[in-house]
Amino acid sequence: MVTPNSFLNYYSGKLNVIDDSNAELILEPNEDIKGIFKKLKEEFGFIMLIDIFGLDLLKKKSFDPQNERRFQVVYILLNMEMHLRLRVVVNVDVEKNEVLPSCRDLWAAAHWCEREIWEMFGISFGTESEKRLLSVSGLKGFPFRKDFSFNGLDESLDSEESIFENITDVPKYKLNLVDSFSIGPIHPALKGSMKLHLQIEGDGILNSQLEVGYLHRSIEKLCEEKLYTQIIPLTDRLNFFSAASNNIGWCKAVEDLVNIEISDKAKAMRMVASELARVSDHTQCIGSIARAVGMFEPIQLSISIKEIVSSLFERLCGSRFNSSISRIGGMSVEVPSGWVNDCLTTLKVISKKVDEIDTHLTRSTLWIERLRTTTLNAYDAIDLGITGPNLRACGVNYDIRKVSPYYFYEDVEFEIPLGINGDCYDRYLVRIEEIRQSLKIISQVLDSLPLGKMCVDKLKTELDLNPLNFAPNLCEGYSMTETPNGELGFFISSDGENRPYRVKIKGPSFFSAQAFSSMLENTKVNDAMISLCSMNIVAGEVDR
Amino acid sequence: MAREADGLSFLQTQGPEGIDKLALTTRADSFLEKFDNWVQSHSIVPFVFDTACCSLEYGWHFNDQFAHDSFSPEQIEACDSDLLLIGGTINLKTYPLIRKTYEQMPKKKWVVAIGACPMSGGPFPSYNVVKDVSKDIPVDIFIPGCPPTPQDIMDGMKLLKQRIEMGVMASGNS
Ligand code: SF4
Repeated sequence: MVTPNSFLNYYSGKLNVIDDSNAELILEPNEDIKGIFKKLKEEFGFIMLIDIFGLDLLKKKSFDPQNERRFQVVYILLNMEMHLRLRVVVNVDVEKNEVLPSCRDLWAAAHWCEREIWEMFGISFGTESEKRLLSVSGLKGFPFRKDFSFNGLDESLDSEESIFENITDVPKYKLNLVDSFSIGPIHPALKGSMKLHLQIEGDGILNSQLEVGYLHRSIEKLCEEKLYTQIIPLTDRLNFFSAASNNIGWCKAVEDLVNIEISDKAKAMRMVASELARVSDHTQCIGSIARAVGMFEPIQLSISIKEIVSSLFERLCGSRFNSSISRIGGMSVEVPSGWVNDCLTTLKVISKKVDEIDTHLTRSTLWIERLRTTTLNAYDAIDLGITGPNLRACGVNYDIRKVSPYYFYEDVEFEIPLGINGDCYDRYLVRIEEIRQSLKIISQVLDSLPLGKMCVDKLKTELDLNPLNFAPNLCEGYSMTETPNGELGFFISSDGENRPYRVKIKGPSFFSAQAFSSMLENTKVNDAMISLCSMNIVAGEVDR
Repeated sequence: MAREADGLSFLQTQGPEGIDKLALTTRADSFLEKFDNWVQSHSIVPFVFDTACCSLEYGWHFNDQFAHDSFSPEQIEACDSDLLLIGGTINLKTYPLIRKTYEQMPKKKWVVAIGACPMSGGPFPSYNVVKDVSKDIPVDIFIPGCPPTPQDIMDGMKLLKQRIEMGVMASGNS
């Protein structure tokens, strides 16, 4: 039996314990990294890889180029039983051609992360990782390095790679049935632009691949040039269907970094805003599945729910979608008078409409038949790093609101719906139930909305909260919230300046998109769009 | 026979000089143009190039033109449409695509750019985002906002209609 203690004792010398559920382990590349990871996974139960990212230390004040290695690769691992998060930091020197071992065979989720680190930092994980993922082909240099400057594209580097390898295991007489085609990047069923390549035989799918990068705006790089407050609107554009929960996630990450305790009222309103965002995100996901199936009524209902929620946001903060509602240390707005009452009344309307969607869909035979595809089992889902409703649809009970509750999620009453089979239908069921639970949370919070101010009192912290001067001390930290799509995490590394040194955004859709690339095998072409919609992959979050 | 001599035969009215005799204007080609533009303004076929967040506001209104589970490549639609709606961030990877789409459209075409992103890169002054699409694609109407409200988009569309009725298009200038 592994206990936190046995784990702590094993690594006692090297481990930095940050708090109850976070620890840090620093490795050098000449150690047996692969062996350590294997031990961590198999003996200490770190079965999920949350994220891998790179860090360029060149411009850090404390960096000493003679004795230190310039790059760091940070792995964030999760032990789901003990709720323990481990940050493994590996120092690398690219100039000396150090190649890190790929841990794709331990965690399948690592593949795209490694590709991203290779194209952004030039840190190699072996040949498999040396393929472009997000950036445009022909880009010179490695954009996330601190000394990168953009000077045009190099056309000669442009190479047309064939997407699918030639297949060999199909009998010869069937070969003329094999065909391949692509959907996108502009297609109304896609949320943002991405491209889906399919290789088919008849109407069965042999191989599929999701090509991303069509919406890569390099938000993480931009964050390094912006003030902490200026980043809030950028985070809105990650998952643009539920903007409020993204910027709440960012503000929470910054507040966790500098230990600001926000007021009770702000906490409550943040919960309300992020649950409202969850309602609208889930309804639009269900609406998009209904579109792909070709049902009319549910689409109209989901549009009307989205309308209602966006008008609530408009009354609250003046903006319908990209609301930028939260600020570091509180919220941007006071609650307008009468808004709470309005919200409580509209909740009833929404809940009626959700019931209506439910009666239209849940028991409809057409719906069930079309949606019983693309099964994902729990083991694969964890291996691929999927979080959120897509993971819970496979039957894994993991919700950050429950396991490491923030704000008042401990005090409100709500349940976590779980699926059984992990197919599209379960994903739909989980989402529609989560809408109901969200409505329940909102009404509980609004019923007992605490009094007080929305923003932190200036006297309470010794930090200067003026946006221009706001500068955390030298520190770094990872903090996560449960957004509609799953775990949205922000890693912030600060150098004591008023701009972050490095920000890494862990978007849940990134891992769903990676998983989706391999999920479609042995399904029908007809089901491709339904599955894609049910995974709710939003390009803004994948590409960032 | 006699009537034929002083009136117009059917065949004559079909010629380019014929129809203006029936027209209520003095300048022949202006009537044809007017008629043409009037027809245009009522039968516009939009091609929606929505990549990002801006599609939230109008996506649901314009997108119904596509059969949803049809897998026809989008380029076919681009050939048949005469209005290009650009909504959302254009980055280096999508830029060649949008230029190709634009070239494939027929000669008579209008372009509307929705949102701050196609105008100026919006909130993303980064290496990967195209700062101004109008360098290569002449844009008729810019609708600012991040994202623009539905009202803004409606106003922009009204302006576009006026332009179409007058037969003005940005693509003609280049
Ligand atoms: S203009 Fe604003 S809302 Fe529109 S795509 Fe750009 S960032 Fe998104």
